[in-house]
Amino acid sequence: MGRQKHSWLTLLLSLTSLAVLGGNCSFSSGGGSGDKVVIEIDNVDDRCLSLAGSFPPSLITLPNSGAAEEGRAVVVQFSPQTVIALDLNTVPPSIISPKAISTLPPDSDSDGINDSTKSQSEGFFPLSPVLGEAMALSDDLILVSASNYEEVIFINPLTSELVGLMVENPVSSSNHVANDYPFLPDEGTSALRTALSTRKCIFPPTPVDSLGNAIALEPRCDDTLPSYFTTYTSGKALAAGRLFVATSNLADPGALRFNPGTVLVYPFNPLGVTQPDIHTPVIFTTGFNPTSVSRYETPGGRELILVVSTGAIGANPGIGNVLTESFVDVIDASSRRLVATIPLGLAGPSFSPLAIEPNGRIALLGASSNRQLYAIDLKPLNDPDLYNHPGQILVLDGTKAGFPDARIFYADSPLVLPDRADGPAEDQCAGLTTVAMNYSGQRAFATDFCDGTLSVVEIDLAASPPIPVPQDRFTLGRSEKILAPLTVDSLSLLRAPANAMVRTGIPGVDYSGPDVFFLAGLPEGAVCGIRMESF
Amino acid sequence: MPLQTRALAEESTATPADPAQSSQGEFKDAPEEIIIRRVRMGSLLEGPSPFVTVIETDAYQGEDKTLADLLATSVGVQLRRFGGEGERSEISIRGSTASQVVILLDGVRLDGGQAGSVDLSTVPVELVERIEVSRGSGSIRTGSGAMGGVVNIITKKPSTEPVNSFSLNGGSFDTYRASLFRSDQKENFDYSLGYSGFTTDGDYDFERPSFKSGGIVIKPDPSSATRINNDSERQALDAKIGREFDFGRLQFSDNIMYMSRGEPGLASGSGVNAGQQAYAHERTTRNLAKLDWTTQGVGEFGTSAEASVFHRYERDHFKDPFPTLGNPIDVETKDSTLGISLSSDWVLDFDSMGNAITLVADARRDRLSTSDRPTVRRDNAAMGIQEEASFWADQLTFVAGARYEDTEGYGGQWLPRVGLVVEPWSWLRFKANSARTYRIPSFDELYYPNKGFARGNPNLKPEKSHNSDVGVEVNFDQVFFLSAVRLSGSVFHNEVEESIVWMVINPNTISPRNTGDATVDGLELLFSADLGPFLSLSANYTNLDATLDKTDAELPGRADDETNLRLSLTPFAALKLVGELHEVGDISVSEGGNVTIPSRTTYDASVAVDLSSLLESTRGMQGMPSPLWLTLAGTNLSDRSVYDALFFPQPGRSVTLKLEGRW
Repeated sequence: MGRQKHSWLTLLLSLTSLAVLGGNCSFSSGGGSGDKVVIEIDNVDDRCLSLAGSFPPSLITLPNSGAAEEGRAVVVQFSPQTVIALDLNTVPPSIISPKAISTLPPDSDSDGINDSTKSQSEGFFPLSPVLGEAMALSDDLILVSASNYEEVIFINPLTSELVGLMVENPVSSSNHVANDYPFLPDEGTSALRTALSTRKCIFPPTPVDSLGNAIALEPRCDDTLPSYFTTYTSGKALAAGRLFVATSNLADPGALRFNPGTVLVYPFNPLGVTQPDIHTPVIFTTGFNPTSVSRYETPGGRELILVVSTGAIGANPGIGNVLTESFVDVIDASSRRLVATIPLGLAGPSFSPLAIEPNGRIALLGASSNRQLYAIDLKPLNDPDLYNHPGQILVLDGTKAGFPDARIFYADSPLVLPDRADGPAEDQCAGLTTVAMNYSGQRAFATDFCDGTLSVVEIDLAASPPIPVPQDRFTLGRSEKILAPLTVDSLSLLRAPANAMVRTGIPGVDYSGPDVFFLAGLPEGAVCGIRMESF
Repeated sequence: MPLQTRALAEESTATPADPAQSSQGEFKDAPEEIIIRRVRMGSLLEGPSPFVTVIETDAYQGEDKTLADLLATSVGVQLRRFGGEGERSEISIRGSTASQVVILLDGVRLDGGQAGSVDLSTVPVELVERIEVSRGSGSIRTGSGAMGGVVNIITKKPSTEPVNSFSLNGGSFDTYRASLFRSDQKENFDYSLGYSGFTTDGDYDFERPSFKSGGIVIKPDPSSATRINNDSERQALDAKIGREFDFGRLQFSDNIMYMSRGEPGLASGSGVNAGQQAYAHERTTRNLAKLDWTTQGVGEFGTSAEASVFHRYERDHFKDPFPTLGNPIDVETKDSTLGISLSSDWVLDFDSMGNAITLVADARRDRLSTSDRPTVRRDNAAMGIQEEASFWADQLTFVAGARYEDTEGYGGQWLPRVGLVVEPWSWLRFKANSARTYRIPSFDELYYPNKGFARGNPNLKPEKSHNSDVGVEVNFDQVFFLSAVRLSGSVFHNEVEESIVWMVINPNTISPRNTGDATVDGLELLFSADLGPFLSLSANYTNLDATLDKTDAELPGRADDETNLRLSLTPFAALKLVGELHEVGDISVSEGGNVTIPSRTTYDASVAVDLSSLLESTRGMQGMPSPLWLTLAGTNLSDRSVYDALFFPQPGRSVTLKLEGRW
């Protein structure tokens, strides 16, 4: 009996060991590779092409260099992250990307190290890029801003593949410190990269954040000077052979704390080398939170960069959400100098690029927290004297003698869009608007995220109106209920329009399909096209 | 017939029938034990009319199942798993949300006031004796939240004879489990003590989903990834001690659970880790203490009475130094409930009519204290009565009950229910139920602090539900070569008013809102039988049509149908072979109803040998635990990519070696 007991105890111990060993039998476990899960996405609206994930961040037209390519656009998809080429001639828009495309790869800048590992090696969290605004350079090259990993990615929109360009980090000089760009190639070297890093150490001349607090030291930059790394890469534009990229520099989302806004400057040459501007690598914006960047050429042929600083904003509806003032900064692209600014007050413009009238007289802006539009007069920017005051930033609000007020609609005097009767209450969702100008500049189309509307603004710029263009030259036209409002009754319905875009060309002449396009954010993303002028 | 072959399809009114009986089965045995006069302490069963599944965990000896596994194969139930073992899993009954199901541990609500739902991965199955799944709303014992149904998890209890058991598991992804249990009687006290430990690395590889839209497929790059930050550890202890007194039985029980785990979150982003959170971590400690007094025979007509005082305390500490949205998170939450419950059953029999009356009363105080918001508390009190009238030797039973529940801030609510059972013959039973219930919003839904991207809504109204079902049960002991044949079918219709949904309310914020009405219609089918002396088959099928009334959009998160098939072969007592098929239909994962995870079929199998019986018969070895099962179990054998929720991958094929014994 005793021997038998010993036997079964031995057996028990042996089997216990076996069970423990079973824990290591990873050779027998699988990764769910027996098949691929394909998530099917159906269209829910005849006008709209459904996308994966909510809130696609960007919709742009391609330059359409050839007649056969008319009506091409690109949408940036947020989850999963990729860009998709569209044909706007069909209803709804159809995809012209290859039958199978891939999402953004783990090594988005093709430096040979995946992004998260690279981030960790540089002392950051394991970061990966989050795609944002796109800008088209040609039909086969777009630049897409990416936050988190902070870069501008080069993508062929027609194939959704990354494009390699030579990127250089010049030898340090008086205004350029190579080590301030930890994700660029090593100092003095160039490399074929598929993205341009916008992660840079910033040493602000006035080291105060949006809350009025002193900016701390960033040891990874310098352990003696207040500094910070750029964050939230946003809008960009190309002018005078340089790429101007805004970084919002949101430092503390919970406390709504922004570091001073910056515009990074890179001489950009797709056929040569792209590198930081060794003379003027960074330009500080007047306001906090620069979001959109637009190129504007004055009638006199001067290339300007217009940077909209939204100001510090929170996550609540209404004007109370805007915590600091908003500005449109005017940068002379050739001299890389901030020459003027147009203060908009507590407006909080939305992040979309300016809608610039084809003749260049005015530009419209949407609002991030209101059902409003703002507008500026661009004619004062054609004054050569504006550029003859080095060391000064001229304020174009009418207070500086000799320089007119460039504000048409601003925080204290906005263009208020009509309120949808069955829309959400103001204290729930007060509005987020985007705006696009039609081919003639006589009509603008404004989407409202909350109401699900598209409002028409009629613009009369005939007979060269005075500066600033009088407000009565702007008339509210009809308001279309293009999507459901953001109310409890609209659950499951397509809603939250944004990123208004007008197709290039004359509707009914150059094309016959829809002329106004926008993105729906909920419940899943969608690209929608409607006819506002093309019948 | 071995009980384990039955559990997939077993209904409350069934216990294994004796094949030696007549060719027509009897419903009488089980009702005598469980339902007729319905005196079974710790049980939620409330009369013969609800559709109830009882899962006895002993039936799964020689297999390797978690609590979620057992519930997932129960008819009418869908599990939404957010990963593998140790990761969050939630239950849906008849198309409900997780917060529309009440989960009890030995009769006490496991959900606190905070979230209103229960993570099933926090309950180790090794300490569980039985699970009762009541489908359909309406419960005079549980009140708010019981819209889809009620699950009562009953832990192992003290015994008067010594019972010892253990189990050891080792499996894929460095997953280990161990448990010990003992119950006995010492002098006048009986007691039980159970321990369960679990740990896993959870570092399984997974295939990332592709998306198909507009005729193109978007493939993820890379196409696969490894689940990171997914290690999990759970320790649980269940202790009970009781004594019989002249005035009844007193029992004190305490259930402690500690869990520490990484929270990888969504695998939806870019990069080699697919955007998983590398640093988020959660530690949870839960204690549920309960003092019970029970007695049989109360006055002339009372058959039993029970009184309980309980306290539930859960402390949760969540940290994420680098969340996807917003600032670093470091939140500590203390969620507690103190309550009392009373119940008594009374019998008044007349010549041709039996009356069973149940009276219940309960009260509780929920309290939530967190580091990121003011402390909140809420009192709730309720009383209920149920009458069960039986006529003509129980051929017709009518059940009517009502619960009046008063919750601080929401006033009183009447929750009536009626049920009817017609049993014209002993082998045939028709059942029908209709009930109304509601759900008080959780503290998170009401008071989640305004963090910019999310905030609660103190103006929420309760969800309300009207639920009806009708069904039939057939039980034959012998039909040709089949024995112990059981068939059951039911249809149900749920109307939910004022559904609470977290939705986008402005460009930056989500918040819960009462979004209107939803309707869920469905069908449940069950079948089980023995195909000869060694082979048993059970199968069930659930079909759901869950839509939002205003737009007719499919409600997200629910599979449109599920099929479970189980085959058990016991060629001799020392060997058990089990094969299972699980088919899950399309799952809508968007509120618009236009994004769908495709259907899947997975296969599980296990082979177990009872070493004690084998070695005793072949080697004459004695004195070892009996039975002593050595089990090799495989899940998801075909290595399918499995997703219940978008971007929350589950493991592919995994294998477990398990040793369990009893003495």
